[in-house]
Amino acid sequence: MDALIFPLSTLAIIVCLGALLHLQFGQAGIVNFGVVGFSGLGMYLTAILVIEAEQPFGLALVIATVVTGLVAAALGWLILDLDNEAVLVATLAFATIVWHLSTTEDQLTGGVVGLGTVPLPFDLGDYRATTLAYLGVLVAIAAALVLYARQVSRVPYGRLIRSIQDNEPLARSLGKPTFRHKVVFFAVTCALMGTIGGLDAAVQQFLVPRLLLADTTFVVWIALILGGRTRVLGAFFGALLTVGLFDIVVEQYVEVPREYSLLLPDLQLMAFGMVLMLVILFRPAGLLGDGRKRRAPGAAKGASA
Amino acid sequence: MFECDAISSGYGEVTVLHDVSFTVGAEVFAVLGANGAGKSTLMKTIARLLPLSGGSMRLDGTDVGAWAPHRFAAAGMAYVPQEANVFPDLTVAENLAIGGMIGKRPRAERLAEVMDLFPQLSARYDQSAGTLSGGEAQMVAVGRALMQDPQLLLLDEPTAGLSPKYVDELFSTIKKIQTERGIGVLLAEQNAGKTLAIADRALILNLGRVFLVEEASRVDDTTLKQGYRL
Ligand SMILES: Nc1ncnc2c1ncn2[C@@H]1O[C@H](COP(=O)(O)OP(=O)(O)OP(=O)(O)O)[C@@H](O)[C@H]1O
Ligand SMILES: [Mg+2]
Repeated sequence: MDALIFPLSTLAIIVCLGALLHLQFGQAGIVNFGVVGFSGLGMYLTAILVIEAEQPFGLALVIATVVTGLVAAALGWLILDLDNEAVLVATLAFATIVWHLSTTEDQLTGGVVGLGTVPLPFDLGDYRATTLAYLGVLVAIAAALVLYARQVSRVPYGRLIRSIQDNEPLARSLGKPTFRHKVVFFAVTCALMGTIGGLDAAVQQFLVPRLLLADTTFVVWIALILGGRTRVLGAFFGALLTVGLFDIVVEQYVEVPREYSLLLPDLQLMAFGMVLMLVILFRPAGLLGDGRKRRAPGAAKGASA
Repeated sequence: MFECDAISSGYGEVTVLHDVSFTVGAEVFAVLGANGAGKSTLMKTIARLLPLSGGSMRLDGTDVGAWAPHRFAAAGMAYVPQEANVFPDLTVAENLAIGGMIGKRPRAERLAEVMDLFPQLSARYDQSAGTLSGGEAQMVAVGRALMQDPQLLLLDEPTAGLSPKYVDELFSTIKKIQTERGIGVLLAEQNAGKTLAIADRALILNLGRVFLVEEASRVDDTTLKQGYRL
């Protein structure tokens, strides 16, 4: 059981990021390919504030969140009226810059040597109980984010956000400053990615730049697309199928011959790629299908005129 | 009262509208012209989706020529584009609700009025707008604009793709809305005959310039023919 605490915490982190990406991509249509850039920024800022500036974890997390949000607001202001390809490239480039900084600014980040250790924000006396309680916190946050994302599509604000992605020129003539809404929405969701990254710092405890590579972004995207981008539960099931299947089931329970174990991460990415292709080809709306209300045309009665 | 004073606009370097001037009061004001005459360009310019390259426009005396579309909308402008005029992924209910974001009257009251005007929509209420027939989608688009409680309603070929029966229905609805609410309606149309029948006045555009602004009843076939000639 103890061996499961770490992968389950990672799973909860991926579900959180998936729910946030669902908000950005599934609801607002923002093609954020720099997820790890924002979570990584939050992660490193939290760690640096805790370890080097000796600030309490909570304060560090708040500062990391706010800074990540401000950075995202500036980036969003620059790119969010460009087309999808440009947003994709710019967010990917942003994540690369964050990774690069983590290696070059080594007096702050420890560079490739790493930065450690980030303590858990609370201590119940017993290590096992503490990590378990922290896992509980992460699961609660994941559940809250998923519920919020489900709820937001039903309130006027969510409707506005979806309308912007659905038909932006029309949305612009509807009495709301669409660009500003988009930037704020992006900044807030990215700030929360920073929060999640900061929480992840305490899971990882020892930070190395490798954590900021695009793998995280890909896993979150794969999870979202597997589950279906219009369904927030899709992010949850997608995360179960990716991180859950590989990092938990395969790593913990499957006997992998020693000579193959080094290949496992590559095999994992290959399998993700294959599954992703199959999903896009055969279930473009995701394994769960399209979550939107949509009756078949003509299914409603009495509409003939 | 909405006024355009010698406005010019276009797309990037290309100027499509040249020195267009007219005023719209509480009336149905028809915007006519051949394909490519610049009707849609005029509507987009008024809706603030295209910048002015010359001239000015005022709503009740306030210069609105540099406003963002959402600001003009909040001040009473509602725009129904010729194409892509609904939110296809949103349901009919959501399309209408999103029009109701602005305006002061209770939303339920406005919704009831729209459903009165377009009773066919009630059976489609939870269906996504992208799956509606062309005519139903037009009703949603016009209904959404009405939810905004506009002072100035811009309709760009709302009857495009509708069967003649629907065209007549929609035109009488537009006329009814205009007289009941005393608002200004700019109605861009291809079909001059039916449009002139409900319009108070008409503007004929020819190659982006004003060919004529006249009482609708005084626009005869010869004038139309001249106005539509390229
Ligand atoms: N996005 C655009 N970029 C460049 N030129 C454009 C664009 N849209 C329209 N035009 C040009 O502007 C002119 C006027 O087009 P507009 O759409 O305003 O005509 P219209 O009167 O609405 O025609 P229709 O009756 O076919 O709808 C045309 O010559 C057209 O080629
Ligand atoms: Mg047109």
